Amino acid sequence: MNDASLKQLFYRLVAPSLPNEWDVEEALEGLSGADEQLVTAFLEQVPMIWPVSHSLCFLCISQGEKIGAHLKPEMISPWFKGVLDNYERHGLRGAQQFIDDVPNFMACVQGRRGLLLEEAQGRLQPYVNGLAGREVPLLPGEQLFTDTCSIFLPRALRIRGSSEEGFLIYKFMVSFQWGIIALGTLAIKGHEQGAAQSHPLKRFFADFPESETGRGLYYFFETVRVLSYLQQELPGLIRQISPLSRQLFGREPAGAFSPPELLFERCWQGRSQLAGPDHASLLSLVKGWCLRCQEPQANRSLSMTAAVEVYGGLEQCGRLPLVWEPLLFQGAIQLEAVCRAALKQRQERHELFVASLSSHLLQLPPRAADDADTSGEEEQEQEQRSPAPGQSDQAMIFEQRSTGEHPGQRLLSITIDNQEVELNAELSELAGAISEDLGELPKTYISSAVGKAGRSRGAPDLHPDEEGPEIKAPLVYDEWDYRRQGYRKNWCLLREKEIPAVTSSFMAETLTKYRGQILQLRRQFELMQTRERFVRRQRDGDEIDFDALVETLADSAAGYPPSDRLFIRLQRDQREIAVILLVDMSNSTQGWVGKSIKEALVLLSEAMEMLNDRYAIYGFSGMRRLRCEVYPLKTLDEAYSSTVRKRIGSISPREYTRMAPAIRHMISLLKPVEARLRLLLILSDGKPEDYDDYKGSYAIEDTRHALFEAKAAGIQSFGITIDRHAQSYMGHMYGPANCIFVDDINRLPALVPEIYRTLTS
Amino acid sequence: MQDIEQKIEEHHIREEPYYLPTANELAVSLAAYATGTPILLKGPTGCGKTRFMQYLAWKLKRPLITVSCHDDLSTGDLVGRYLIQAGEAVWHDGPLTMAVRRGAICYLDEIVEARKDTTVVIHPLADDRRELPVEKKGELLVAPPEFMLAVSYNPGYQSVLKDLKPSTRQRFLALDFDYPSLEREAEIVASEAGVESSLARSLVKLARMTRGLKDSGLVEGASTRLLIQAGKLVVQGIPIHSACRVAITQPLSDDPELLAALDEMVRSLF
Repeated sequence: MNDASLKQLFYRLVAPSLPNEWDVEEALEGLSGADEQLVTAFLEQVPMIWPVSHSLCFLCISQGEKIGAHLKPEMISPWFKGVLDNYERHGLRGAQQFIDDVPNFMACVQGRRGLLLEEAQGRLQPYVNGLAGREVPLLPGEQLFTDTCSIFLPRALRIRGSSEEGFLIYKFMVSFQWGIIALGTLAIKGHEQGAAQSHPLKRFFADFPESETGRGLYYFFETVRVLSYLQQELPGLIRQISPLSRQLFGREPAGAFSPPELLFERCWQGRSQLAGPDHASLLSLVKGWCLRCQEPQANRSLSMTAAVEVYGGLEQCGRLPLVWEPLLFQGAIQLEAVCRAALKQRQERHELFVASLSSHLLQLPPRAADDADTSGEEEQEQEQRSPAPGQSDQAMIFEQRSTGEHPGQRLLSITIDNQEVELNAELSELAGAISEDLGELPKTYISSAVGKAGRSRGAPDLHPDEEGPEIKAPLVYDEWDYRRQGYRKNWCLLREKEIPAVTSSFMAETLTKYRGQILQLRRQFELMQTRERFVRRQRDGDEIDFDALVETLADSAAGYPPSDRLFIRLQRDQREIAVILLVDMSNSTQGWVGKSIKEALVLLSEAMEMLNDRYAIYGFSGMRRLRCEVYPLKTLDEAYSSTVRKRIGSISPREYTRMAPAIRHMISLLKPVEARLRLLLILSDGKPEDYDDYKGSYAIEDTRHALFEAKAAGIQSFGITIDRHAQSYMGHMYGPANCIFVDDINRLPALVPEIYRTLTS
Repeated sequence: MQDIEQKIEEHHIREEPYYLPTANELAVSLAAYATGTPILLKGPTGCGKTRFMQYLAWKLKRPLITVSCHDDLSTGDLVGRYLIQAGEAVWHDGPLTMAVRRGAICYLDEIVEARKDTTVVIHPLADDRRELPVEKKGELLVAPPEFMLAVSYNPGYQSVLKDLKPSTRQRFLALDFDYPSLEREAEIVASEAGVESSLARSLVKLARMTRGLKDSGLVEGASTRLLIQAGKLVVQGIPIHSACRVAITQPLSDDPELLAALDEMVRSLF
């Protein structure tokens, strides 16, 4: 294939876009030397990758020859999938890294390439939560370290080994970092306020003239301590990692596998820098401290002393500076991160404490908080005067701690202005955590909670949470791309938007217009209500069915076999249905279509009032993948109120029909609802379609896939459409029995309740 | 009558059940018994609520009648009903009526599982009236001083729909049960399963790890009961890893990732 025809073909593939000619030529140069088969394989991928990112497409093609050298043509397609995955997760840089890593791709596919964090995380996250007894998030980072709140792990373990070995190494890394958290290696044990600004260990390291050596020594002894703790707490883990000694410690054990021993050998033995006449005495000094660090009562001050002593020994022999490369599982010490995390945690605890204590105070009978209540003026003054740390100006606060049985000394109650306020379990635990961190529960925490409670009690809040529903963070949903048989990750941004309730004559008109029909529907729906009824002739029941008994006695007198169904039982049929109606609010519903849909909603809602079924109504529209919108007209827990009616009245045609993100959002809403039947009814007037290239098969397949996801989540879906061309795709999208086409738009209002009735009874 | 006598005899607990008190629950219950107040035991599954009731019944030397509640449990199931026998309608006492008549301890296990209208029948029994109307027979039974009512429920996994009515709750003295401390729980496991104390300790450590997994999707962690079962399997010669798998991790969850994580804990601990 010559350059001109290649270029022509490329333009055909990316039509209707018209990229710059020089860009195309430059990129295609990368394929000029490649053989025909490879070129075809590459070009096959263009329609898939072009809509995602033009520059990514050019980048891949321009590297064609290099890639071709490492991959066979049949591996091109899976490799491109990898590129796209990386691009969507980590952007162009991530994709670039993946492209540069092409020599390792085959090894990856064959399974000998270590492990990715995300593959291990599902198993590791609950594991470490279990170890720690609380949530310790595992986060991807450039290197391995912990800030004592979370553990940061490298995104991938590039080791030459099976994924099982990779997992074990990850597991050991995580367990070791947990040990560091559990033993308080990096904890800020400051009762001083400023402790979190600068880590006490930082000062400790700075006291060494060669601070790197001091740091290394401290970390060495702490590692010994953690390893011996792991050996004692998790003997199974230590057994599991013993075959990986070479990868973890860089050597095979001479005798029995003992991690602290191996660490010692690795760090101290055979170092040319230490050689000399005093070599043996140095080693025995270190060894002695090592052994002391392995004793159960060892703590971090012992490691600090050990570091100082050994540092002195090294100094005497003139062996400074001495540095160590951290081992694979040790990671780095990041004191700044620890400080940041501690400050953040302190801040969060403060906020949480103030919020929970103030709401706790508000729940108390009035007197308790009345004392705290102040008039507006005074309060303003207080605002200005407060908050000098440690000083309480508003309330006399005493703390009462439990003593005796609980050594942890939990805070049980506080006294505010002679009023004793008992703390609930949650607050008392929080207060315990705060005083453990700060040494005491600062009085300002309590006084600001009291102030907050007083404010809320004094006057109704005129600005009820300003973070109203519209400012909610957008939700992110994947989108199915049938061409690559995979998801476009985090592709659509969806927002729930409030629809303004507008007063209009629509509601009154509809109610009058369908007066008779509504009455009839209500009667029909009433019949579907949960019923309690007596069922007769049961084998077992609360009461005797006398008719049956008389018959049986007569039967047996006449010589017939008597029946044993002699009881009456109270039968309760429960519906337990939750349904969401998803309504198309796209531009094409302009005019009478939109009006019919609105009328249908009114009729259905009126009829639904006769049932106890939980139902919600949501509208959807939007434009492009970054602005999908969902409008709650009635949520599941909301009553069918006049506000809801007004919202239905104010439904108006908006933009496009990108249906799948809305469906995915509905799935997330319905999934946690407990019900026997969860139903998603979709009311639309046409094909899914959006302003960008979301149309045709792509859109239909994405919607179809979203409906599959609904099914997988245990949600039944049913589509009602008024599109004349619906036959061609509806059956494929919803499944043949799960949709209906309404040809006469005037019948829609009456039909929707009817369909609902049939579906649920 | 002889029939009833025989039936009630079966509910006597002859041997002392093993029970290690964790707080003052025994003293409180004995006081409740003396004053005729019903008790409500709440706590996670398998933490020893039922065992405590057995121990209490043994201590008080009263028969213990246990009813496991379910959502189809009707008033008739508790109070009694007419049955047809040889062409005659014969009244049969339900477990609650039997307990009231004979001055036994009636223990309604997992009371929230029963329908709310069923639980209402215990109301007159649970306040100072201490009486049980048997409507179908037109009889009003007054409970003797020996009778005691106890109910239990697990606040951990109940949904809002299945909470106790306040009018029911407020008739009881509530005893909060929780898993014992590490040492005590290890002692219980060692004694019940007959395993070494070091193994019992490791089992308890495993259980405590699973109990910290609430945020990771495990509704309830491993109960003491599961630990004892695992311990018993080990005594029977099952290797510890598979004993933990069948007795602890598999009963806890079906989620493959969570199971894998639990497995990792087992492999780390043993």
